[in-house]
Amino acid sequence: MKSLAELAAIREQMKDKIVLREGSGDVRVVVGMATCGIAAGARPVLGAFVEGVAKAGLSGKVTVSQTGCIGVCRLEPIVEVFEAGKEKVTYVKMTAEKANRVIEEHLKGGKVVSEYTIGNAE
Amino acid sequence: MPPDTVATVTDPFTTSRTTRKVGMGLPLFKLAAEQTGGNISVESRWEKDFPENHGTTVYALFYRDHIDFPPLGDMVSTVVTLIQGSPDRDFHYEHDFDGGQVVLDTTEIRNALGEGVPLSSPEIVSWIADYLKEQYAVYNNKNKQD
Repeated sequence: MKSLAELAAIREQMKDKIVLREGSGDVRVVVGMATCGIAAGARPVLGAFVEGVAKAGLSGKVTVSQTGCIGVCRLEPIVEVFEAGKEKVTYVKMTAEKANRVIEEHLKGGKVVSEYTIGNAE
Repeated sequence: MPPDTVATVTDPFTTSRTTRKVGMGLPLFKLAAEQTGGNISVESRWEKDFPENHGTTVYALFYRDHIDFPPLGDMVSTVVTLIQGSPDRDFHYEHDFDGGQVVLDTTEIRNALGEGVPLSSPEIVSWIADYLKEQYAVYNNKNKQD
């Protein structure tokens, strides 16, 4: 039976991690979560990024946030990756599985997954 | 909102958006309510007239037994997405039905968590989802019996 008291326990567990989380936010991952995005399946994509970034220990460097309609609804779910000093990368027709690959190869490894980008998707 | 905005707020071409000229939220909400024989009303106290107590309330009436009444959908994910997307905003969600209630209040969650833990943290988001799912189990069981 879930209770608010559990939150105090969760917070204790998170205490060590909180310090690390105050990261520089060098990299921003933005998931389109407007009606078009959600209808196309953006919620599991957002979930995959949020969990994946935390599991990979990237929470200090990468922030994951939501945005509205980007304007290319037929290519939703869309994920944009912003990194200071680099060009924006726009991933289209994303899924939770593809998200995991982006986390591994792009966010961790620094190499854009070009097959998933908008340039590749005409 | 100023009174002249309230008067046209359900027009799709009245919007505070800057990226484009159309805002569909309220117009579609109004349509959905009216399709079931209901309606919406938007009441707003403008900051200029009510500096201490400004705000807007939207009321909607839907007739559930109308053939065009849409299904409720996945409210757990909807509430989770709202909180996850605006972790600094406070939400009070309440769903009353025969035989029970689902309630979630972010101010209570913030009090229990104390400072420094964003509501968008995966652990908290996951807790919120489970908390809601558990409460909705009563609603879902009841609906299966009907």
